[in-house]
Amino acid sequence: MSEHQEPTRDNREEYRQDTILTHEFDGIQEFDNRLPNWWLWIMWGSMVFALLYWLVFHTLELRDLPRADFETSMQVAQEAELARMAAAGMNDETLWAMSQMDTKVAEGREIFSKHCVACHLDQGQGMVGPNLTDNVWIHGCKPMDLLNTVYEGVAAKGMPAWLNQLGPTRAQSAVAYVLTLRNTNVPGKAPEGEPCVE
Amino acid sequence: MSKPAQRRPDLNTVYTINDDGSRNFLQVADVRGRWQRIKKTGYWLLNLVFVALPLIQVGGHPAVHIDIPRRTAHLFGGTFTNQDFHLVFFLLIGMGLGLFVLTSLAGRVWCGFLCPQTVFMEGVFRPIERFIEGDRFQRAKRKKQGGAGNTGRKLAKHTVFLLLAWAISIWFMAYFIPVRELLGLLPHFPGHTTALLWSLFWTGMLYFDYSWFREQTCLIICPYGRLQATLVDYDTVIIGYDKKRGEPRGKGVESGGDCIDCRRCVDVCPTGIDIRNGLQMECIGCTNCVDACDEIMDKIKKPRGLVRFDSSRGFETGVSHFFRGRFWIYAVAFAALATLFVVRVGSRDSFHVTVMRPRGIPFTMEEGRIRNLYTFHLQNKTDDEKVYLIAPAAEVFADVEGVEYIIPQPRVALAPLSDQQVTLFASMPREGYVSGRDFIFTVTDSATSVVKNVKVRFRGP
Repeated sequence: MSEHQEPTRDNREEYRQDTILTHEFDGIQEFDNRLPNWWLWIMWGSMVFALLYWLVFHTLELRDLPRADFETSMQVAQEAELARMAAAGMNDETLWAMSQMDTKVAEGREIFSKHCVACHLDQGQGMVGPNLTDNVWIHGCKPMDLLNTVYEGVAAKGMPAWLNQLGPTRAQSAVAYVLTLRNTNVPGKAPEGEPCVE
Repeated sequence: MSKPAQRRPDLNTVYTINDDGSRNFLQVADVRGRWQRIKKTGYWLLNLVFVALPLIQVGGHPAVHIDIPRRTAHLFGGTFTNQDFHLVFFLLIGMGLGLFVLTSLAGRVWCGFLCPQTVFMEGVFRPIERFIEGDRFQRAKRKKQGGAGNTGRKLAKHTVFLLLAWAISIWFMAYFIPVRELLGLLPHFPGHTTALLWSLFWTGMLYFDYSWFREQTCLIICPYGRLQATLVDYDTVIIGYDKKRGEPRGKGVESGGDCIDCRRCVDVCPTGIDIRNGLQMECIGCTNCVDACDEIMDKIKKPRGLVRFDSSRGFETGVSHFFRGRFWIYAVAFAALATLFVVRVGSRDSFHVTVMRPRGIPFTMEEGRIRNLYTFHLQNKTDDEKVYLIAPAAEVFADVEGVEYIIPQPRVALAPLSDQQVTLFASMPREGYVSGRDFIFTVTDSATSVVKNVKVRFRGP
């Protein structure tokens, strides 16, 4: 087969001589027509982009890769949430104060009866979860410790992290309610953890 | 072999790409005729549907509202949640096979009459271009003359194109954000980088597509166009040129075949082919050449249909058979998928229960008893308030002494389309435990008495 071969074509005008490539499979041959320029530009553009991306993200590390960027964003969001709580005056004292507010406690009781009773039982006397009515605590007895435990959960023992499910406000109400249970000493699960020293 | 001054469409090259790879931008001639009337009507209707779907309210929701953040879709009064997402499989494969049926029978009807690319291009953008810049000859004349008038028209056209591209991209968002909310959000777009960039990106894409890229989308990017060779065969009805009648072509009505080589069919082609070269990959079945040729045939007092819809077999032998093996295979596959889709849509459940166990704690031991904790995730998939009742199925484990259930929340009230996790326990004495047995809990919709049996394995040492 010759390098350039006159292709068969059924239109009359011979506009130009086409280049036909030498290889052939099952009688199928191909032309060597030029790619559209817009297509070539996409290719060159992608190459330039890849090079820049490689330089910026991997070599010079000027910008974070998506995963690191995501983690940074999450951290920023968490810090913002903590800052928001601090700005709202969320600390041991405010949680104690909440535990004195009827509306907060009532809201907390409702949340407790929905989400917490399964493990801590209706009066907080404990079953799967620890007894909340004594003054002995596993993860710290300060109101902020409790709030943190509710927010983050204790995965190893089956306590879920409630922050995502309840949101901060409702979790705080639940903690306010739990604080009212302290020292009610309902007979139930034996005390676990450290006695509270304030 | 002398080269003609002007390049003409051939089978070996893409006419819209020049030898040096640059674009050969088509100036498509006007065409009138019966197929054009049908197409125009169709374009109007489809554009109307596009605008109307987010506006029409069906059952308290827009006719089409795909709510991505809430993972629900409201489609023509039906409510679908993430649990129904598998239906998309039946829908997409079914629509694909439906397209196969249509293609095997009548070629690229989709491309010429129904595809959004065509509907916006031929139904909206090209008529506007024609209105502002005039027909093919006026455009060519103005381009030659140049001057402020030409620039002004170009500027006006591109401004309108940009505004339209923006409007279409915004309206497309109404399929995902209800119109009222969307209108409220629009003023915030300039301050919201992501929203602004996305709306500008889609505006830019549409503008680029309809102002410059045009038929290149169909020729080079569209995967459906590229599938044609496998879907179309000798008996598929396509737009074709009746060689037997037309050849030998030539000037002068009496000089042989009916084709007078007036090249009207080439001038009106939006993808730049010569239909007389036979079926080509570029042909989107737009019917422009059919109407163009019919008009000429009327003028030279010859019967219409030199370029017409017919099968390759029909053009050669005058006989066609449509319902052949290929059609039946596609049709049966399509019918199966469509039936499955309809049945699955009709039988989708009104609520969903998933059981989860605490990670790493299959059971706990307490005072000689084995306890299992289950978390039921209840999902209300309806638009109504619902109360679900959770209870153990009585007959299961009737033979074991001392089985206890703790269901702290046997009544679960759920707002429309909301979900909740409910924790419950089952326990039994260590002595009674046999491994490998399942508890069954019933979850009952209190309003409709629809019962779901939830089977959970009781784990122990």
